[in-house]
Amino acid sequence: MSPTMMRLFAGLAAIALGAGILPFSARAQATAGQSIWDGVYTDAQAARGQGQYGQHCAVCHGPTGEGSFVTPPLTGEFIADWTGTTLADLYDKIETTMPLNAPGTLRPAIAADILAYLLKENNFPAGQKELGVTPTELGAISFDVTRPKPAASSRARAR
Amino acid sequence: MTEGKSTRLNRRLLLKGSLALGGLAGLGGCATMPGGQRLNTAGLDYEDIPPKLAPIRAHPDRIFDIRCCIRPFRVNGPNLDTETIGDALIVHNYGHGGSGWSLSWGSANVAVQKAMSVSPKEIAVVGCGIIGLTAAITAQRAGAAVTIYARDLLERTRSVRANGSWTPDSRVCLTEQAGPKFGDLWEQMARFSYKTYKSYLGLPGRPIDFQDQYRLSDTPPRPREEGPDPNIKGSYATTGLPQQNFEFGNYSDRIRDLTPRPQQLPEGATPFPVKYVSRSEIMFFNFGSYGHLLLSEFYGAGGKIAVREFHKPSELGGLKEKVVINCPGYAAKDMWKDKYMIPVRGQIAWLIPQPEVNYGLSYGGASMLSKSDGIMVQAQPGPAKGDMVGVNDANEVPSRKEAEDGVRTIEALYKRFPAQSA
Repeated sequence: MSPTMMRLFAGLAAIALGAGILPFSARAQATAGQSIWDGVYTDAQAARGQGQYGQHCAVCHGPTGEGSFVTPPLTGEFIADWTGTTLADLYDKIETTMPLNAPGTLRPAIAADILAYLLKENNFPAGQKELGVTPTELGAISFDVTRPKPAASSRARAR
Repeated sequence: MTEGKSTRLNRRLLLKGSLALGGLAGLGGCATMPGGQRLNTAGLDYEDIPPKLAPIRAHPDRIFDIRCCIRPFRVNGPNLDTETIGDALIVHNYGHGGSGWSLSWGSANVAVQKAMSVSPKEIAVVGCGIIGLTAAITAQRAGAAVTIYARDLLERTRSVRANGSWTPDSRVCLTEQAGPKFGDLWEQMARFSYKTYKSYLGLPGRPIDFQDQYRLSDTPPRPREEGPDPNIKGSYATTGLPQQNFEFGNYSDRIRDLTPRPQQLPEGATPFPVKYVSRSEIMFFNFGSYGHLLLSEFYGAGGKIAVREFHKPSELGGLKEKVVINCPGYAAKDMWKDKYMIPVRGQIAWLIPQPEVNYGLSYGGASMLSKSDGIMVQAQPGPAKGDMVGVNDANEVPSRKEAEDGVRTIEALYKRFPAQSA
């Protein structure tokens, strides 16, 4: 392939990614089960999580997850940081390493509630079922930043 | 009383001396300052007479930053082991406790030698604190093309929230857990680093600098602890945490040839209103200029930085570079499940820079160092002393009270100088 053709191909790929059209292989990998776009928590759970967040997290990450000079935000670049993982990874981070001065002290249900709040803060939709705490359940929910098109989503779920 | 008399003199000496054009002049028992005040320098050789000392404006409202960090203390000493993940060789380089800045170049040299043993053309460095950045530059100097993968660049890492002075065996390990061979490795790293730092002396912005350090006390200074405290029964081996200073590795005697001995100064030989004064010298790192210089050097040699956060060790195996130098600092405790890592909290209050202050001091549990980017003040936050301060405390939220306490300790020292008469 000539350099010009390579640049053209790369440009098209970038446009496709920018428009939220992931290559099929990437999407297939990211949607083995549900994604964070599928309403994986409830509003009530997020509300509980907000209270827990204020109690355990806000002192470092700020009242609304905005972060500080030394503490990473839980919005914005936070999404980029966790894209491509599953909620099991993020839950594990919260449950085993946070808060920094007392890691491992959050009960599983509280960690899940806080995770629900973070999803809400980042504008991922709520649903009818609360987020669970089992690795199997959380590991099946991909942290996928790209909102799937309905057709792509149903195709993925149908497989 | 003698103390009161010398105290009255001292305030004038400190203030006028700092503004004087001529500095000190004098020989054989006294130094005459402009205005006629005299220091009691009897017994001091001419070259040892303290230079003029500008006062520090140590007031809490001049605190412009409070930085809190967790030192990546590892009881066995820094992890420089290797392992493979997938088809990638991982060379660890983390866990330097309070010695990261000091040992960085020597540690980087050890890590890069291991990395280069498989002749990679490309090397990935994970982390961009002082350990990661020096490892990256060292790898470039060894001929590799280097990409740093990091969430934050140096100025937002824990490295620049540390003290940043030459303290090569500060909480670097526990003696028993590190084992008898660690001393040789430590000495190798310390000497290599020290040599490297010499090449950064005298550059614009003073990235690396030296300063006189005055240790001040109203009571006779305590002798160095030579043995364990018999009143403390537990230890790391029995509790999982160090219980006393004696457990921490102390290797400074191995490099005594690199640094001058502390010098006791006679009472009244300095403007400080205390009975006991000793003076030593300390090498330190000006974060702003040194950090900028290192990043420029890295970029200048073709280095690339990719902003990325890792969540699992397995992700390192997916990097395109198949040799990875892993420099995560304290983050290793969680990501690598390193059970030997123990957090050690430290906090520093920063006062607005005073370029005219060219010395540091310690007094009453507080210490001060004047850097180009601010005056650092560290308090002693609780009853613990020495290496035990902050052990197993991972609270990284800055304490304004602790910051002000430290500054007020220094402030109180200067308030002991009587006000200037008109």
